[in-house]
Amino acid sequence: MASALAAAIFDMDGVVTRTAELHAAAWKAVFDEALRAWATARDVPFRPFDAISDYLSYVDGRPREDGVRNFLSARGIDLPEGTAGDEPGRATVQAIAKRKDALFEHTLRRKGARVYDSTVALISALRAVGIRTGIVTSSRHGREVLRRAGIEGLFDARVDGIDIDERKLQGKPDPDSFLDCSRALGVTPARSALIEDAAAGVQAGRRGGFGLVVGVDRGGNREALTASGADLVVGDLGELDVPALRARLRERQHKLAWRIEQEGFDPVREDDMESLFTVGNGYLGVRGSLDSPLPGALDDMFVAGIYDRKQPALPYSEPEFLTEDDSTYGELVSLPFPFRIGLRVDGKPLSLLTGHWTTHRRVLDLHEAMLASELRFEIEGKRTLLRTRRMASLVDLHLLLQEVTVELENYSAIVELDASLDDSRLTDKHPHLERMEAQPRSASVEVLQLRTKVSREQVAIAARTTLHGSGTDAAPQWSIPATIGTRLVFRRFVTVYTSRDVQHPAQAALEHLRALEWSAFDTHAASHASSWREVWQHADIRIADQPDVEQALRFNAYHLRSAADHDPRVSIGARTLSGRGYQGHIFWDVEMFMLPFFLHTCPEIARQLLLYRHHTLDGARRRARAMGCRGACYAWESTVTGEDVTPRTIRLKTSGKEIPIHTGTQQIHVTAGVAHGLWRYWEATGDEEFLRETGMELLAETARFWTSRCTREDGAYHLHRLVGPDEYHYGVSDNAYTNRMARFNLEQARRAAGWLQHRSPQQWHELAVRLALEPQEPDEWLQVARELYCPRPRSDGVIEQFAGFFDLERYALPGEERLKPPVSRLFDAERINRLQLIKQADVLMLLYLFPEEFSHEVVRANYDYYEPRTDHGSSLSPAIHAAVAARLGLREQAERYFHQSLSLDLSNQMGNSAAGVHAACMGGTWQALVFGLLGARLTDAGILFSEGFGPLPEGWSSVELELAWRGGRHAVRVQR
Amino acid sequence: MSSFSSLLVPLDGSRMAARSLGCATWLAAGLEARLHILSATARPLPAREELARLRVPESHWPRITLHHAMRLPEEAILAAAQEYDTGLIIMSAHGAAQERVAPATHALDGVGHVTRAVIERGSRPVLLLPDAYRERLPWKRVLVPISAEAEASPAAGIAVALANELALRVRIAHVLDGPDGKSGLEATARYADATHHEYPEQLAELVRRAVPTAAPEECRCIEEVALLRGDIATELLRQIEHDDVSLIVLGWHGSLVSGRARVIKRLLSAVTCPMLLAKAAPPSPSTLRVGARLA
Repeated sequence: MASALAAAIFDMDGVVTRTAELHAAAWKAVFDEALRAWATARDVPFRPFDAISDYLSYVDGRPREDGVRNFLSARGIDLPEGTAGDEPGRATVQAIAKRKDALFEHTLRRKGARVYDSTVALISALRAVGIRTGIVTSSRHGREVLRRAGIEGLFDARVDGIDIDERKLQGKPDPDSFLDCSRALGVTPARSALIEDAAAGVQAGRRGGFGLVVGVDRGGNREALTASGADLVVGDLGELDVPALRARLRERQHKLAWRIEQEGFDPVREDDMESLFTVGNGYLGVRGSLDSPLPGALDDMFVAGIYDRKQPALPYSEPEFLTEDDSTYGELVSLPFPFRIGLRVDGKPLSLLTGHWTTHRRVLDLHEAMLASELRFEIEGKRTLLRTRRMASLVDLHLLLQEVTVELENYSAIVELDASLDDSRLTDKHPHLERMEAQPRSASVEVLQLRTKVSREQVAIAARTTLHGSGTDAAPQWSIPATIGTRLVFRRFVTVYTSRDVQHPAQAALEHLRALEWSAFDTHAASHASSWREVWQHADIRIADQPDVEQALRFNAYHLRSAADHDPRVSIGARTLSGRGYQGHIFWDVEMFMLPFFLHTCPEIARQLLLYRHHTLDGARRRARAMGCRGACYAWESTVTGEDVTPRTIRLKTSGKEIPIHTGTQQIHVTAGVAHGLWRYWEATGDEEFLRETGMELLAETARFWTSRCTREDGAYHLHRLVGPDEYHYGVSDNAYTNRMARFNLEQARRAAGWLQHRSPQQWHELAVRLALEPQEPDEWLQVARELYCPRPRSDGVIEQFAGFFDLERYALPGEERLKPPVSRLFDAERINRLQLIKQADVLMLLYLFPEEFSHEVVRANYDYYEPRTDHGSSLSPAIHAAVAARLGLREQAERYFHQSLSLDLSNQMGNSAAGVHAACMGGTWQALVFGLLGARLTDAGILFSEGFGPLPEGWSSVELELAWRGGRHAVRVQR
Repeated sequence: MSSFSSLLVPLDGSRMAARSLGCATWLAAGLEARLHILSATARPLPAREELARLRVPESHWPRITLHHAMRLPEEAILAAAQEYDTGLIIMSAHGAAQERVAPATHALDGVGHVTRAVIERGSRPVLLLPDAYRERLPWKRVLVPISAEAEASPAAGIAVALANELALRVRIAHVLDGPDGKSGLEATARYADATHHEYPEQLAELVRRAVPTAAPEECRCIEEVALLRGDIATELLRQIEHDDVSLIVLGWHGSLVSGRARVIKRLLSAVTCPMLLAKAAPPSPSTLRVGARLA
């Protein structure tokens, strides 16, 4: 089992050996001596070292010198560092450490080393079942202690103070020494248990990513161990046995598989983290920025449908590349971050940039769609704990909830919280927003009323904050005297409305906010969580003993669902509402990659996504007309009107070089993709109302487009000036994918017309009048479909991607360019256009979508031909390759491509998750699993699983999921 | 408080080392910094006399602290940098040893052994005056090359901080290296779903990662981000020459051994403007518990 317990690493002192008391006694002796001298010299009272509390808090588990510095610092004593050669009697850090060492050594020799029998019994039991064991200690006497205790043979790996010095490892709470031991054991930390009695060691275990961290509390340390992140705390290891450890690890992994957890903080990766930790409900999305964001953070909130004209001249909008785009609705607007807080304690700001933090943990709970954080600060020995949580309600789409808990652990002070919505960037040069002149005022409610500069959309954000338990609202700035141990819990409601929702957004936001009762805060949070639990009932995929795969699938499903709403005027942008990437534009990604996920987990959202295409049908009609065609041609990149917002050229400021972009004018397969998605919806749901009211119109108009877009030559219809899914080639003719999809569009339009004529002649008549449909048009669609040239397999089974592809120059694709196409693909478009080098599944996409049309031999021939010619320059490519490879029984390739697709954002494979998550890749991954690895086929006879797909991937014993099909929800379990 | 509130200039008595004083005093004035001059001399003079001897204008004297040493081995410079909490060490590429040995061959060696030890062993940024240095004050424009590994480099952050304090303009250059410009942005990227979206976004993100904690208003000093193709040193030299660059800030890994830091060595032998070298900081500890970290 991939996730089973494989190793256990033990701290030595206090866990395995009874040497902690020897250490504590030695520390007490040397510190008391130093403290007495310090007190005498300054004529202050002598305060001795506490062998329990001071030992546990400041020195236990740490390298000697660190322990001295840590304790003295806590007492406000500043001694010189000294050198390793200092005499033990000197008042330096090094001398005190040396003296302690000498004392410990002396005692050890005199008293010997005793062990905890219960620990030794557990270690023996672990070894008996093949679990590897390691031991770690900061003590330079580690190996001597083990020898004296006679337990050297109990461990497969040992890291002691000497090893730490020699290998220049960092001391606890850094995980260096434990990770070194893990490497020596040859087991990943995730599959290891770490057993520690020191808070610093537990922190190290947590930071090191150990699967299970067990705290051993020999007295008075339980709270500190728990607070440091121990998964469980025991008084003695006699309370645990091997099955219990295994079970706890499984339990922990099960828990982790429902969360994305970040430990520590790296400002360089913060933009990526903000995308991953986005909370959203489809109406809006708020990036997972810190509660006190970094000065240059991408701390955006986005509301679906709020676009404005792109501002290329602004610094940072486009530092080098200039794209021409004057659409009024060209760019998704970054709105002020609604969860911003400023925290000060006794006038000192607490933030991750001040450098006084000791732990930072951020957890996205996927199950309940809540982002929580925990941040500990220590300034001059004063410890502060800050916990926050936030949600974007899935029940009340205009509502955001935030809770901030501040606890002064060991001191009293004035706590100041600034929960103002005001964003300094708004007073500066915001690319899209301006404040509206009249801002509604209220003593305890803050309202920010904004307007986009060109599209003139209004956005109102209103907020109220309370100190939990006080029962009162106040202005967003709070100043509260707090005593030791007091927990101050601030709660905030935020409401968001736009002029797309109501005529007076500010009024709506205020009224909504005022109607919210503080006593109902928990209820709102609970109903949000409950709503998400319902989502998971239909969308969760359980894979036994594969927590990492489950986690990634859940993460993907979370983001897909967070991006979708029940509003038919909007759809899902390439990077959802989690980032600025692709300016929020909507591509073929929705119908071809994301829609199946919704179709089979939440069909009502699939319906809304298709209604967006109906809503933008007029834009598609205008676009067809502009191309000299009839009917409707969907935009390659679209926002709210259906107008095409694909830039026509891209220009480099530095060199002036201009690169034409052909996708906007030639990548017309998106139109057939919309029809394909619509038809799949009809097949999956049998939603007659949808087909009657909107679907037929859309099919008719798109079919009309194809009839006017193709030309008749040599007895057949052809399509020219195309860009297929492989975007490296432009101006091509008869792209196999585009032509086949167009044929599908035409055929289904005819079928639907026949159905409607028969089922509801009156409605057909009304539609025909409205669209000025000639009676013979449906038959013409069928005629064109039949005569539309669709390349067939040649004698070796390979289908030519487009006319002339076989004659292009062969390109030996270097290994390093696969999955990593160089930027020269952009600069050298002319050259690439002449090569047999393709960006992503094109013919293979066709084979994937129409599996019943092509034999195994044909699929295999095309896979073998095109796969080596593909550099996977698109994140959409691996998923389709995984699905096709699985169909062919190419297990290794299928699994490799599946895993490349699965964790694209979690592993930041593209290096650009900062601009938002890759929703199409997420949807593609779902399809690769369901229709590829599991081999599901949705048929009139129900859900079938193709034979010949072979067993599940290595290590997978079973997969359980639910699929919606034809009005039912079908539980599926696939076993190895 | 500014990161540049304390500056250090080591002078070994050579003419080449003394050239750094003009730049150092100008910087100290602009940054309102304390300037520590570490002067190696067998016969120390009182501070005022020594500063006069070094031809430091009297207006700068109040912000200067003069320290004497018999000799100036690298240890003394590094210790002084530590003691004075120096934000920037300003020194010439070569000093007295080079003047004694072969004054005509300065350009060949890049840096002398003391300078090399300081830049290799020390952790603080060093403003290096190359042998061909020509003093041109005040500075106007800073050039910062960033690579796909920009996150490891503090160079852009330092350039932006200096630019804000000294009212300079910053030009960022990302050079796509290799015969076909094949080594560059893609080092951080795998896919480009729509190239016209992806590469601009990647470049913007590259810049953001280079200055992760700077506020947008601080970044306004960045006047241009140039995407160039070709040999890195050649392209940078072209930028320096054509765009009136006063300073180039480079992030590096801290080793001048054979085969490493080729761009720095090449620039050292050719540029006439100062080069600020800043070492990569250790990565901040941050773990995302996903994938192999989970199972």
